[in-house]
Order: sequence, then C-alpha cells, then structure tokens
Amino acid sequence: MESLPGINDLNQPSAGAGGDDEFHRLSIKQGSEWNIEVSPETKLTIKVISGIAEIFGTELAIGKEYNFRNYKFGVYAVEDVELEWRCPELTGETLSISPNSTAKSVYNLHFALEKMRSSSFDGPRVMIVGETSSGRTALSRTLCSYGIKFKSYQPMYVNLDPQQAIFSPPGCLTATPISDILDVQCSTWGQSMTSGATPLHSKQPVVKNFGLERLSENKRLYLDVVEQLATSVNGRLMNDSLVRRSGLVIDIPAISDLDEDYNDLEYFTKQFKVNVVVLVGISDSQKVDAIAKKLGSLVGSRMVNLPRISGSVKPEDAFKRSLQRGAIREYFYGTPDTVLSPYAVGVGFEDVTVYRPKNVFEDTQDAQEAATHLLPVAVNPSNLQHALVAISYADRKATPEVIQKAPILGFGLITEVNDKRNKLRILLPVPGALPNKSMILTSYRYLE
Amino acid sequence: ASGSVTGPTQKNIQSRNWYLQDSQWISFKDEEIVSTTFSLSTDG
Ligand SMILES: Nc1ncnc2c1ncn2[C@@H]1O[C@H](COP(=O)(O)OP(=O)(O)OP(=O)(O)O)[C@@H](O)[C@H]1O
Ligand SMILES: [Mg+2]
Repeated sequence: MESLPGINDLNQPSAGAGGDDEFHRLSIKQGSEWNIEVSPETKLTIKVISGIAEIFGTELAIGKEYNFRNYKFGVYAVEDVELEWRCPELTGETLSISPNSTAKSVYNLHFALEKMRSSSFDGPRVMIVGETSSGRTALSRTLCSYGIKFKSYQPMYVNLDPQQAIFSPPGCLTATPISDILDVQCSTWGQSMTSGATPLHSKQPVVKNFGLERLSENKRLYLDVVEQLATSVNGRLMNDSLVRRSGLVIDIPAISDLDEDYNDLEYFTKQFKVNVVVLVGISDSQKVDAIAKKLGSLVGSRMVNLPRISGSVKPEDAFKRSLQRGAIREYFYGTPDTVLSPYAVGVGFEDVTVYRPKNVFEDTQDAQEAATHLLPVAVNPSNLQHALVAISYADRKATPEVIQKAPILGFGLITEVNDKRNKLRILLPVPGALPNKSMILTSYRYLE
Repeated sequence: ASGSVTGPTQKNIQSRNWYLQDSQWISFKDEEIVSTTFSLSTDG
C-alpha cells in the first residue's frame, strides 16, 4: 500500500488518539511543554511514568494520578518525560507541545533570588509587573515553587489582584507563606487551613476583603486594603526570620488597571519595601524607561525585563468567572481530595448587620464622605440573595470605621432570603451559630 | 487511589477554619501545621 501521509498513522494502534476515556502515552522532550486547557465539563488525568515534569514549577510525583478540571496550565519537561493521560475531550492529534522559550530566564531569575537569600537576612522582595495575561501569576507560582524546592525556604506569596482567587475566594488580597508543596491540581494553588487532615500541607494565609470586582470601582479603598495587608506582612517578616530571608513574591494587578503615572507601582514598592522588580511582557521601551525612572530610587538597578511567559494565554472572561466561582465553591466544599462540610444556619433579618463598600460609579451623591466609608445595606432579597459576604471580627455594634479596619473571620454565602418570614439561610464554612459580627457584602454571587 | 471517591460515610468530617486575626497570623509558625498524611482511600 502506498504510504500516504497520515494514512499509516491511522492504522497504528491508537496510541495518543484520544477522544475516548482510555489512557494514552505521551513523550515530551526535555525543554518542551505540553500546554493544556481543560474545560469545566471534563476531567483530565495525568500520570508520569518517567522523567521530571513540572506544573508551574512544582514537580509531579512518578506514578501518581493527578486530576484537572477547568484549568489552563502547562506540563514542562525538565528532563525527557514519559506520561499517560486520559481525557474524553482531548485527542492525541490536537495536543499542543512546543519548546518553552522562557524557562531558562525564569531559572536564572530564581538563582539570582537564591543568591540574595543566601547573602542577607532580608531576602528578595520581588514585585511582578506586567500586562494582562502575560503570565505574571504563572511566574509568581514558579518562583514560589522553586523557592521551596532546592532549599528549605518559605517565600511569601502576596496576591494584590482581587480578581484572582488564590488561597481565598475572589475579591480578596492575600499573603501566604509557602511552607510546603503547592497542589498542582488547583488553580487556587491549594488549600487554606481546615479543621482536619488534608493530603498536602494546608497553607495559612492572611486575607483582606476588597469585595468589589474592579479596582476602579473604589481605588482609594483598594489602596487602603493594600496598606492593611502590608502592615500584617511587615509584622510577620519582623517575627519570622525564615520568611524574611526567603522574601516576598508580589503579584500585582495588570498594569492597565493601574494609574498611568505609575504612582500605584511606587505605592506597592514602598508598602512592601520591594527590592526587585520583574517586568513581564512589556515590550514598549518607553514604558520600561518610565517605570525604571519611577522606581529607580527605591529599587536601584534590580530590575529585570522578561518577555511574556511561554504558554500563557489570554483567557475568556467566562473562564475567569468560572475560576472565581470554583474558588467560592472550594472555600465551602473543598476539592475531591479534601471534601469539606459547610454548615447552613437559619437566622432572622434582625440577627444580621450588613455593610457594603462604596462603588464610585454608583454612589456619586455622598462623595464628600471618605471613599473607604462603609454604607449600611438593607436586608432584602435583591441585596443579599446568593451573595458572598465577608464576616468581620468586629461585632455588630461596631462603627463602620472600626469594621472597615477589622480583620475578617471568613466568608458566608447567603443562600436564601425569605422576606415573607424575615428569615435568611446562610452557609458558613465552620459549624456553629452565626458569629455575632458585622458582615460586608461583596460583589460576588454564587448560585448553588 | 482514584481521587474523587467520596465514601458514603466519611469518618473525617472537616470544614474550613476561620481565618486568624492579623496579630495571631503575624506570630504564627508554619511548622505548627502538622503533617497530615492520614489514610483517605490510599493503601495503608
Ligand atoms: N505554560 C502554560 N500553559 C498553558 N496555559 C498557561 C501556561 N502559563 C499560564 N497559562 C494560563 O494562561 C493564562 C494567563 O496566565 P497568568 O494567569 O499566569 O497571567 P497573568 O499575567 O497573571 O494574567 P492576569 O492578567 O489575568 O492576572 C492563565 O489562564 C494561565 O492559567
Ligand atoms: Mg494573574
């Protein structure tokens, strides 16, 4: 038979064919990466047979099955990798495997940070600056993973982008010491603390609620929340010499969401005493120069310019929303590996006190009051149905000023608002009565 | 172990913890997070 291109392939046993729910073999050459998108409707299972494979810098164990849903990520081959995969929605012919063009630069950056860690008690405080979808979070995650892989450091990951949910529901700013391996299966990077045992070490974040979706809805409030987070981070660094030496990896919002004069960058730099700036995917040299000029007196020459991180893609808004929803679900219900039991309580309307942050586009009339001032919220279905609320440490009688500065206990989900019986049902992450505390309404809704 | 097996009667019922107050978090030591290799549905 003539060997027409493609024909012979079809006759081969269906290695790598896919489109079914069987295991298929795949080899990835050293230095290449398999770039993957798994939709919410399906599940991809991967099992490494041999070689060193990494996902965002975290090495996969040989022979262990990892499961992925609703996730975009890359499997990078540090050495030649043989693996098995199974997914009804993927077919072998359409797998995207290509050389990773930035892995080497990321590695070099990691070693430069490692040098700083070994030569000072005050480690690197790295701020990652870049355009939207340039791979800032992927880079942050890889730097954190590498930071714990070779030596027993504990870098702290700081998330200043409330649209992404990492170790928390969306709408938050968080800081989390990375003291143990991250969960490669989770877009949230892993679990925050639970009441029991989890397969991997849980992480202990400090969580600040911003609660709005976009920074522009209340920039002054956002900057205030950043300052609250920085105060805690700096306090921890004073107390914890290992984290101080290991340093910070600060993942900030996309540069297009910040002010054009780079005052926000300067603010973050001062708040967190940034001493290394990494630019990602900023090709406009005028921009690079302007940022260097703005931050030069604070960070000196410690500025690195990287291209877009290899493999990063611009996700659809719908995908970002599905990650946010997934993070809310995970906060209450956990993951397949760590199933959590939330607790539903019924309370009367009179048992809750709810405030909300101002939204400058909607609350235009009372502009004379401070932008950070919280406003009272009437308890009714249109305000609260399906709403995610932050539960403050401040009690119900506290003034709005106190509540706005108070730490948060966690989140509740208002699943039902019955205005005939004046009753609410609230899902709590922790069993017990509803804490007698103030709540702050977020912009996030979740329909179970 | 296939990850998503949720037994009908899970003996370890657990839930998320409330977050620490900032002052507690500042002095928290991550070494206190105990190793939690308990047997889910793994062998052993
Ligand atoms: N190597 C990779 N292979 C496949 N997908 C990837 C890879 N690296 C990153 N991604 C995906 O590309 C998208 C953008 O990457 P990432 O979130 O790291 O960028 P970002 O700059 O932080 O974006 P944002 O502006 O949304 O915060 C994400 O959905 C991420 O999961
Ligand atoms: Mg990001």
